[in-house]
Amino acid sequence: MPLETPKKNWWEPFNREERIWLYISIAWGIVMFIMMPLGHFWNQNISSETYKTNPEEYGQVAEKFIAKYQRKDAQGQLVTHNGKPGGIPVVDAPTKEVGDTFLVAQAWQFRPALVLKKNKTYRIHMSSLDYQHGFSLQPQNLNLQILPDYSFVITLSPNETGKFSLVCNEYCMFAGEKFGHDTMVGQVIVED
Amino acid sequence: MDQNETQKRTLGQRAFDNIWFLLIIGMAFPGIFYLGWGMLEIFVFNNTQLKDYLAQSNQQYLLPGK
Repeated sequence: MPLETPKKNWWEPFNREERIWLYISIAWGIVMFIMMPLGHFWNQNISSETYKTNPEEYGQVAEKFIAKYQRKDAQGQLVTHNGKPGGIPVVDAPTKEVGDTFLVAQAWQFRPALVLKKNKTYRIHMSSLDYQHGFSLQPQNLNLQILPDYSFVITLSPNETGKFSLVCNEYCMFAGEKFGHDTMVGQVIVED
Repeated sequence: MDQNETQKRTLGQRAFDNIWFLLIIGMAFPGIFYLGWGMLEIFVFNNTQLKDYLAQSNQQYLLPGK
């Protein structure tokens, strides 16, 4: 017989190593469970403020926001992130005191590219026009979910200058025969 | 297997051999996550409409049709 019949007295008491690992795993499980609510008070998680919307309405609000705040160059031409007409618009985001900022996630782009000022505070709305997307600010590794039908608001005060990438870290489904999740990268530029 | 070995089972081993105990903890684990999601919906997601918020925060110019 290729397999031996299992021993029937398998319920022997735990040995010392087994017991230690069992206690460690239980203790760690309890620590992680407690960390979930405590993290809220330690500002480890971003408190989300949300508003109910729909993709059509949010898309229109965001386009109006872009039309108002899109950056213009010295010749009065609208600035896009790749310098070409029709590219992702570059927007000088208004500070919290002036108004809210609106970011759109859709297959497969973040729109617009945001220009922020260091040490100013911004209220950034974000919503999806189609699928579930992820908001991952790199290299800070700030991660959020973006869902359709809700506008999620984060309050952000950048404290360093530079160019930062927004990466979709929630696999967004293909549309038709096209796949583009891996190309979904947005930009946040922080200036002095 | 003899009777003496059967009687050596500890309390934990007897508990985990009990189908009713397994049923209770099996329901408790997903229950915690459903409870967590419910709390998230109650305390975080709300049904205030974006258009109402924009109207109240002097950003009516962003509303569709304005």
